[in-house]
Amino acid sequence: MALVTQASPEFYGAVFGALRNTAPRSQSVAATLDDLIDHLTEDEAEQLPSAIGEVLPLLRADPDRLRFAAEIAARLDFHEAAGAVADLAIGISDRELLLTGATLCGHPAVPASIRARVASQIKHHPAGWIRLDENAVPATADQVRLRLQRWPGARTPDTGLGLAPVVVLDQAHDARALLRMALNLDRAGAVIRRLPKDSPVPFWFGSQTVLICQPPTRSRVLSSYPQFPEGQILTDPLPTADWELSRLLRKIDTALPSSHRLRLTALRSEVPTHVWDPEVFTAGVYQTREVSFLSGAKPGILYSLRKQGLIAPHGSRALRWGFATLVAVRTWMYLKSAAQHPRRVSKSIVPLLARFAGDSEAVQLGVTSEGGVFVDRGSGWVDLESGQLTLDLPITNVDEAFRPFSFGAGTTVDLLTATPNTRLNPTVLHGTPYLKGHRISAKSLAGLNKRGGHEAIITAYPELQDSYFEDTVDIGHRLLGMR
Amino acid sequence: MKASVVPQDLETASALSQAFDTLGQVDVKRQARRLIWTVAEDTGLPRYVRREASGLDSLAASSPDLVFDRLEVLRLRVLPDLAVTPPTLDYARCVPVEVFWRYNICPTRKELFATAMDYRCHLEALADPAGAARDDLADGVLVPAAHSWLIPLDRIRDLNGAQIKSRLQIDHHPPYLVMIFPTALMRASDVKIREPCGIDTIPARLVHWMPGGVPEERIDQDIPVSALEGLEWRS
Repeated sequence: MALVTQASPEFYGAVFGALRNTAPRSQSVAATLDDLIDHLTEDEAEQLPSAIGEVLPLLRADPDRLRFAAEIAARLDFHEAAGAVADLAIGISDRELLLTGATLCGHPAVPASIRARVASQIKHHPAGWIRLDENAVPATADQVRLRLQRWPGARTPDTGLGLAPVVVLDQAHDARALLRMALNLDRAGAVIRRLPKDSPVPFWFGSQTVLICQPPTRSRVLSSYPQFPEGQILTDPLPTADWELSRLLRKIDTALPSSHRLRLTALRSEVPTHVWDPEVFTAGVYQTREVSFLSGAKPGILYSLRKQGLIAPHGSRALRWGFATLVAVRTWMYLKSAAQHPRRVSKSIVPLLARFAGDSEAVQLGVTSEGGVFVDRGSGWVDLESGQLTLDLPITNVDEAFRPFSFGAGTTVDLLTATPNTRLNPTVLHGTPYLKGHRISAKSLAGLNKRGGHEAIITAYPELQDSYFEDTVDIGHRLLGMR
Repeated sequence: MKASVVPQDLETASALSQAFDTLGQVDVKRQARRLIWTVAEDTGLPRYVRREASGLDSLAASSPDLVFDRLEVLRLRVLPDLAVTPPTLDYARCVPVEVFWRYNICPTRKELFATAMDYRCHLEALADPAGAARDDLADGVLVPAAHSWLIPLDRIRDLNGAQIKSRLQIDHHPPYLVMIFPTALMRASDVKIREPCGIDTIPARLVHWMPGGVPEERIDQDIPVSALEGLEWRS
């Protein structure tokens, strides 16, 4: 087991701060933990589940947030917090919290003494008992469903309807990557179960789950549970880049039984600003240099495309381009970078995408290297020009062009998240990359930095005193052509 | 057993939470400041309210939690002075299933679903998810005043879940349950409404709210179940 150093009081303060500032009526579980996880070290990520348990008593005076924090623990299967949830529930006689405690205590890694404390409180409560004990016998149809929710090992291929898919995550993985994966799976509608490094393979394993694990865990599971379908064990490393995460999620979805699928449309977090919406897609004003940096196309290529009438600038004297043009050129560059014969990639997608007026119902946009552009409104790819439903074409999702890609000797940045602290939204600051959480453009920061260094930035924006923004400054320099 | 490093009283914890800033995670100071500005810059509010709010700015850096408390006190003081009127339109409220499960279903039903995700999957598999959700509703206050943001029904009548998410800037993904409040039922339940203003952002710390951001939205009192005509499912 990895040696974990003692977490600092500041870390606990950070966790407490995150939980006491939640907005349970407007915030999702994933959004609540997103920012926190972004900034954790590996050790802190390892200790986050126990830290949540440690700070829970501090929320005693705020029952709404206390229950929400416990719900977060249950959703992400933070069994390390089970004792704290159970003790608080018993201490303040909160029945709802007790049920959450029972849910957490159903995990085999929870000490028997904690489970016994909860058991003594829910002795005559079927809904609590079913959560706690895999052998509890349900008496009604509702209780049967609850049992199948909690104990997926009891599911059969016929019992899938109306049940969330279950994905088991191996705790031997890096803690940060594991948390990130868990949040994305939660967003995609999966129920998360965590498999501790050394625990026995528990009952809730069943043929209706997918296991994401490291190779030694795969052997451990298969030796104690030989009938577990091997195709449902994925030993892929947990990715950190968004586009890799998305690929793994699609792989998990394919491995899941057909009656338990992920909601991959909810994963447009890669493109979080709803870019296909007409008001967004047609926004943005970019200089040629910016489009060049953000698309990977040299200015000469842009001028050439313009000369051929494939793209049109907003103005004639000082050339300004829209976000749609940026996406069109970048997508074309992406297809060329991925193609075996880049010259054969048709330019005709450029005007089609550049003139695309957006579609508020679009789930995704696709292109082919032959020049086809397609839109998916949730029921399959439809040709943008003909309106015909299209099957069996090698369509590339335009989302892929938003991710970093290499071309020649260069590499583009992620279009909407160039760096951890840099965002691009066509409707914010005319679409220029900006510092996350602020309306301050990367170019402004770079300009100030060039003139007076870090101090000049802090003088102009005192609220950045304790913030990290060097990565955004770097993007600003590159946008201005200073690097 | 490892000794806890967490102080067991809230006052110390409050000091601890300020260490949060140094890690650059959730910036409570910035949140406090934004709420102050939202109130102070709302020209629809009485001048004394805006002045009191801006007077808290100096506290934001040192005691953001105190700012939240004082803004809440200010909000409660101002609320009775704000003019409310009976509704003249049909209104709606869009609730993510996760939030519906958390606050709106009756406890005896809620305990039969391990998580909000399980409840959502259950509803999605039904032919009439909105009807089933209606049957699961708890009695009493459906939407407490502090969270009673409403939108004219006409503005979302034909929108699907993705469009609602975009239009109303909802954090959760669809599906949503749309609560329908017809004028007649709202009036019969004595619900009165008003335009939202800066102070309404305080309870849920809606730092991204801006006046007119969602046109014609309304807010006010506790909305009882009796004002609800039905639920609609938008995926």
